[in-house]
Amino acid sequence: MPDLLYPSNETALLVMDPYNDFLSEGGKLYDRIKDVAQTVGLFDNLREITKAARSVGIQVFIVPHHRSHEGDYGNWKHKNPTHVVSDRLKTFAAGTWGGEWHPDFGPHPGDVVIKEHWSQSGFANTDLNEQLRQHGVEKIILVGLRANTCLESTGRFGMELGYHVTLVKDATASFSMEEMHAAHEVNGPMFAHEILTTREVISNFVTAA
Amino acid sequence: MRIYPTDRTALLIVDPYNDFMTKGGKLFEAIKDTAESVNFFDNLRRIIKEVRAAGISVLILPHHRSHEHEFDNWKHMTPFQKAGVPLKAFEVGTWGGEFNEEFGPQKGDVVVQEHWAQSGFANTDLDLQLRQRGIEKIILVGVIANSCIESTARFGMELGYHVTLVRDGAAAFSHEGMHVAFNINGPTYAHSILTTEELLAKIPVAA
Repeated sequence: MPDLLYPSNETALLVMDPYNDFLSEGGKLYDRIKDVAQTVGLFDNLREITKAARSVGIQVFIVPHHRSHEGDYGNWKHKNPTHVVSDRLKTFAAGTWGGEWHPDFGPHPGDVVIKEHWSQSGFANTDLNEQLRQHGVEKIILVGLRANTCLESTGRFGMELGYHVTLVKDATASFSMEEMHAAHEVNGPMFAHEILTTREVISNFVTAA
Repeated sequence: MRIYPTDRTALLIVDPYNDFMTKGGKLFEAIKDTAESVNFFDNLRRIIKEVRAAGISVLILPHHRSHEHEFDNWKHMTPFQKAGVPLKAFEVGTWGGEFNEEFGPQKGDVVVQEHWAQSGFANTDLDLQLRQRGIEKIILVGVIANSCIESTARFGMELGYHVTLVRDGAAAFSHEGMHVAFNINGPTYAHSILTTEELLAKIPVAA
């Protein structure tokens, strides 16, 4: 793997949507991701990669999905089907347990919590690009939920903005292995710079001198 | 229901270059299978004709045309971009980098700035051009279903546009790419995914 190092001073780990509704038993979407999560070892890999990143000094950014409120989409002109379902299910509802961070994967002191994204891309209508530039970030590593929606859109946007984009195929999950295949084998190779495993990523972490 | 008002709808034709859409083009063979399987070229002809007749705006979204030294000193080219360099797709000053006669711009169309990678919105004037015209609904056709069309559609949705994909008005490098675009990912973000037939039934009839 030539040219593949993640120096702590120009790399960011983006942890997407680490809410109880996604990652904790009893969460509204937990059963939808559970099988894939178990198959790829999501929980162990997320633990390892966040721990390794923090220990070498790689900045962790939490990239949270919009938390549902009553009347969120009331007068929206063009709701898409996902907006409609989120509104009905009240996923990650503000002020509820489902909209709180999973105890293991939410922000630690020193992490940066980005503004909530409304749909899929963590860059759209948020401060993510500003925060990354201010921190001197060149390379973004995407982990969390969900592989072919939020992570893929954030990866596609990030590439267009000039970032080096890494997908980690066993530190994410989705609703089916077919979606994982779409994200990492079909679409990812056309926009991502690297598509790696947790172990491969961690072995390339380096503390900048 | 005719849900595409002429003054608020635009047809976006993505990458209608000879290299993609004309026999002998560098990537024509690469999309031929999927194009044939959905009758892409005939559908594109019908859509463009009816859309123009109805008075709906047409915008051309051209991919970056390759030329010497284009990526010199770039920090983070993707492997896909690197692999594409020797191909010189849509090369400036060559036939392959010209628009296909049928599917390229006609008088009155808007030719948007070239996009570098996938999204027609990224680093171009597309959003400005649409907003200035009061466009709210975008209909995407052309190539490639799961790269340029999908990224443009994902960006458009985030910007608040109503996004329509046309499952037989696009082509890709593989049938799997088509399946991913229209059956797996499209339903998570697009407002509508139609066939050409379904789309034309919703386009206003020319006065």
